[in-house]
Amino acid sequence: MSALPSIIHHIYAWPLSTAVRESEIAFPVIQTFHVIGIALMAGTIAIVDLRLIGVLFRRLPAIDIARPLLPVTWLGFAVMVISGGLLFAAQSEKIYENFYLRIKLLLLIVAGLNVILFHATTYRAIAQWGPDATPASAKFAGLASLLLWSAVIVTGRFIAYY
Amino acid sequence: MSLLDAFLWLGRTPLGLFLKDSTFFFALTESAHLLGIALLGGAVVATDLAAVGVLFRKTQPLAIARGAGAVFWAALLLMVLSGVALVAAGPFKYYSNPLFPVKLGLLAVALALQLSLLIALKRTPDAPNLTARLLAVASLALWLTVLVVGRWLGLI
Repeated sequence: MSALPSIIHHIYAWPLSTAVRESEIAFPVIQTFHVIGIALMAGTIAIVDLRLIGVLFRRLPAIDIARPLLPVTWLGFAVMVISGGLLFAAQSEKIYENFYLRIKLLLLIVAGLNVILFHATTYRAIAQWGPDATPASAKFAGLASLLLWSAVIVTGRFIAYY
Repeated sequence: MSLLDAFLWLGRTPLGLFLKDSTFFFALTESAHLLGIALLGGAVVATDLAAVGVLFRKTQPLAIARGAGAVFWAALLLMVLSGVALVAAGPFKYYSNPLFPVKLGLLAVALALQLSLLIALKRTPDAPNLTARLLAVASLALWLTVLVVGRWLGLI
């Protein structure tokens, strides 16, 4: 992993990273966008997960809840990636060894794999699920998603403290 | 008892004293507040965009509002509890912060708009009228403002 410090140094020294770091206002503004992204992305994901688990909207077809929210989730995802990328780049050299950052990135990968796996398999037949007949694999994916994204949010907050 | 006394009393409760000295549990309380933002945000986006007619065109807007309503109230409870705990951990910081009363005022307006929207949706459950749609847009804007002001009061 000897290449990592060198890569991180380049990210840290990137003009945009330096600009964010040296501006008094850029960092809190980007942080605010990161929180708005949480609401859009994790919030809509949670609604879909709760439908999959069977807590909400049990009488409505899962597809009628999941599909309309997907564009909002993607919008939130774009906001998160851009704002999170900038927040990381600006402090990269100071925080790349942070324990919670590493756990968060690991959780993000697992959460991402859960999304890809679910959409590549169970979700493809979502239009055929009958009422009150959510497949067990979809319930599991929903529960895993709720726990993983919650853990991503918690570890993200902890980066600032340790 | 003055307002300042009430804030300082909150800081002297066991919860306030505990959170003031524990970085781990303070960060955990902030995390709970963030999870509340996520849940409340999801519920508000679903309800308001359904009422405006942007999302969930195949589903009755009132049905979306009712389902999302459960998440909304649970999230609000989580945010109030974690919010009070955060104030207890540093009461004077919030008492003296000019943005804190602004946030609480905006929160009251946002809540009133959300409740008005639910009442309006019950009157026109299938096709929300102009009043309901305007309330939905206003509610979305107000919740976004509460979020931004909430983030900002931690910075001044």
